[in-house]
Amino acid sequence: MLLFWLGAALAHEVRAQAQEHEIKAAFIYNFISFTEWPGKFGATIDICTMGNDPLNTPLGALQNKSAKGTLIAVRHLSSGDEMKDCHVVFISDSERMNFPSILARLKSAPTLTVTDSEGLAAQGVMIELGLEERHIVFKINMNAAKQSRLMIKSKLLRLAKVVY
Amino acid sequence: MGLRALFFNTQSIRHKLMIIGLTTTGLVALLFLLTSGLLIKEFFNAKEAMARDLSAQAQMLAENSSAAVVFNDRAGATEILSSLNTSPIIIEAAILLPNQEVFAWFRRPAPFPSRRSPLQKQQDAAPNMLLTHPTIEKGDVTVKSDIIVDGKNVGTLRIGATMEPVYDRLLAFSLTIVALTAAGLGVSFFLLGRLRKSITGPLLDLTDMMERVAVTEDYSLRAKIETQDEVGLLTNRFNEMLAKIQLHDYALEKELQERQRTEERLDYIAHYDPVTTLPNRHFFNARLDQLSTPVREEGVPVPGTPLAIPTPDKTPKSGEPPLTLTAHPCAAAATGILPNAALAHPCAALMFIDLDNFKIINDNLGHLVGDLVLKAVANRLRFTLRPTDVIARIGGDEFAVLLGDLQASGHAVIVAEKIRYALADAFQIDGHEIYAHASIGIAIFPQDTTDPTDLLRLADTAMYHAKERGKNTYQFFLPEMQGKAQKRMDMESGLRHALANGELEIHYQPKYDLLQKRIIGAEALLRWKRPGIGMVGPYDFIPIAEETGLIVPIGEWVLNQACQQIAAWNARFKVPIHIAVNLSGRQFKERNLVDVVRHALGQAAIPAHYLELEITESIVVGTEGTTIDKLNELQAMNLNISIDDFGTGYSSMSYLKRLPISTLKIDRSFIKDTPGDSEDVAITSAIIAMAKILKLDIVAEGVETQEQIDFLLGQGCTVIQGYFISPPVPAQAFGEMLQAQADT
Repeated sequence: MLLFWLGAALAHEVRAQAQEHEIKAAFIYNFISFTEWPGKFGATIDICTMGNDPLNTPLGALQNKSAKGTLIAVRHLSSGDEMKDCHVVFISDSERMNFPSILARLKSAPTLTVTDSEGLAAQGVMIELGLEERHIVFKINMNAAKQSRLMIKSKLLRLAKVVY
Repeated sequence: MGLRALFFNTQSIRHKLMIIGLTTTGLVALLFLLTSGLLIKEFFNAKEAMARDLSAQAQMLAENSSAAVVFNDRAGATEILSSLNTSPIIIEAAILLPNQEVFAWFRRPAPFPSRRSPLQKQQDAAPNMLLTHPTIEKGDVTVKSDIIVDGKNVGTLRIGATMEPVYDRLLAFSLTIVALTAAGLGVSFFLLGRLRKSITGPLLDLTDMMERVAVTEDYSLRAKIETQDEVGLLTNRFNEMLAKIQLHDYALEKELQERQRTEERLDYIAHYDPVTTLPNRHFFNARLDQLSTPVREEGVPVPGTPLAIPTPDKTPKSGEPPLTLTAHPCAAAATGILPNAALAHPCAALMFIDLDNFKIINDNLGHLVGDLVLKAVANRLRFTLRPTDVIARIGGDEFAVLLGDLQASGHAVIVAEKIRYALADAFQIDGHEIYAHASIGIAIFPQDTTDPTDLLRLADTAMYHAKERGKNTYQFFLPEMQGKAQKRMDMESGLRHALANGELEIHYQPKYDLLQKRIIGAEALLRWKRPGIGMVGPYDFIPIAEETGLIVPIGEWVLNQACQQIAAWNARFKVPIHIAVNLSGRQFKERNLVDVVRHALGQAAIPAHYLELEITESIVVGTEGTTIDKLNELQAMNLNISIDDFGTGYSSMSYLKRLPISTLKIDRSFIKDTPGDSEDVAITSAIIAMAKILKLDIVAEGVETQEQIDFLLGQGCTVIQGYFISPPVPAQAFGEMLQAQADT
């Protein structure tokens, strides 16, 4: 019996976690709608993931979905790949150490940087997803976005927990 | 159009005004309806507008909340929705996810708009309640807007708003309009009422006044002019008309009064004698009728009774009738009459008063004096009688008195005596001393008769007898008089037909000349032989003939007969004779007398001097100019005129001198006692002597004895007439006498 319950709890927890990642992925998907890139999109909107992250899977599910009238392509970046071509880059928590170099590489490139690693928004990541009381929250770094010539709609800004 | 106009015209002004008012009001109501219609349209417009506004708002919010929705920011979304609080009409709003889950919602906190149900308690209810127990009601506006993110419908925003404020506003507006309209209507009704009154008021006042005038017939009333409009004009004209009517009315009144006065005057004239101012025959007859009339109505005067009777002097007015007349007290006495009338209690007496010889006064002294005499007599009579006695002048010199409350016949005697006494003294009139006595006939009601008309007749008969008895006396009616009166009437009616029926004859009495010893002439005397009765004495019928005027045709007939007889005899006998015909005074009243004589002479074709006319003294006594003229004319025709019954009349010497006469005939009364009676002898001698001096012929009448003849001869009277020679004989017998004479 205890095992069962344990198992159920575990399963629940697993499910919860899975839900969290899906929601985050959904958020990221939606961020696209509330962000303005300079110039037009190409054939696709490229979402690139970096690092090893459970989010990679739900993000990968975004493949061939469309946003803003354009198909989404999701690809996984190993280090060194051209990140500048990505419209959106998700920086995993596992890449936390590489974070400054990533940012340096993306400097002024019109790429929306998103992470769920804590405290990175303050350091220059444009959107930082977080979990607070079972709610997904996010922080937005407007300056970073401005520097990359990205416009984040005020609607989104409003929802952000913090705006840098 | 015509029908409508007709309908309109027949309505009263009040209705007309009401119709106008209603029409106007109707228009106002129409206007109101239009306005209401507009309002309603406005309402719908407002609703539409509101819906549009809300839609816009919803869209805006949808847009704004899109991020919150996709990012599951319920709080944020709720906050966004709560901004709708500022709009008072919004009751609730909700963001629904595509799975109909309520993502965020907003509900206006209490107090809800007033009419909301107590669901406001459920303000804090779960959002899901929103769907199951919506507070959105019918009439509210709900809009929704899809929340689109990047072309994808991520949710729906619903807003529910209440129209209530709009309703309230509209209601207030409507109420205001209604109130204003009502007020307007009220005012207009009031004003219309005033207007109507200002028109119908004066009109009704006018009609009221008209009615008053018609009812009271008081044309001095005037209607008040209340307005200066057409009605005022009408009132003005009405008043003018009234003024005219008033004038007419007044004039009519005056004329009626005049007419009434005239009627009264006529009435007076018809019933009063102007000379004596006594009531006249008509009046008296009416009063007589009362004796037999049953009870009359109270207050209805006897016809012909004037209401005011003037009297010349202050003496108690006798003969004046009381104004209200019931039956005469004697009428009752008459109705219960017993078979033996003599047992009946005497109740009234009728006195027929005839003045004696009044004709002489009239002829002698003239009509003016005669009238004065009548007046004086009337006054004395009035004075003698009581106020309750009725006195009237019913003829030329005839008066009638009705003593109304006779206690006994003796009362009438007393009155008769009083009258006689009153008339005994002479009247001093115009310097003349005149005596006017009267003969009075008295009849008693109801004893003598119960018929009032008859009463007069009986009194008349009694009066006639009084005259026969010598005049200046009174006579009660006696039953046997009835016979005489009857006889008289009988004779009169017989006489009327006597001439036509050839019942009249002429007898001739010879005039004998003592010296010539022969008949020289004849007097024609009228005789009447009534079939079945025989001869009627001339003293009986000739007076009647004179009174009735029958003497005129009869006299004419006599003249003609006599002339014819003259012609016949003178043709037959060598020695001509004359015939004397008596003419009565009545004949002299005829204007054509002379022509009649002339005609008779002409027809017989005889010389005039063979006809002699005998007249009595009384004819010539008087100043009737016409009589003298006629006599002169007759004399001019060569006729002989003689005075008959000389010595018995009133003629004076001066008259004799002037009259165109040729002969005097001494009345038989003087001859009768001659030569025995010295007085008669003296008178006769005197007459003869006078005649001689005046160169008149003399004939002595009624000669019956030889002594008389001797005496007369001795006095110088040569012609005689009388039974000694012959009584009057029929023509044939006379003719034989003439024959015998001629033969000798």
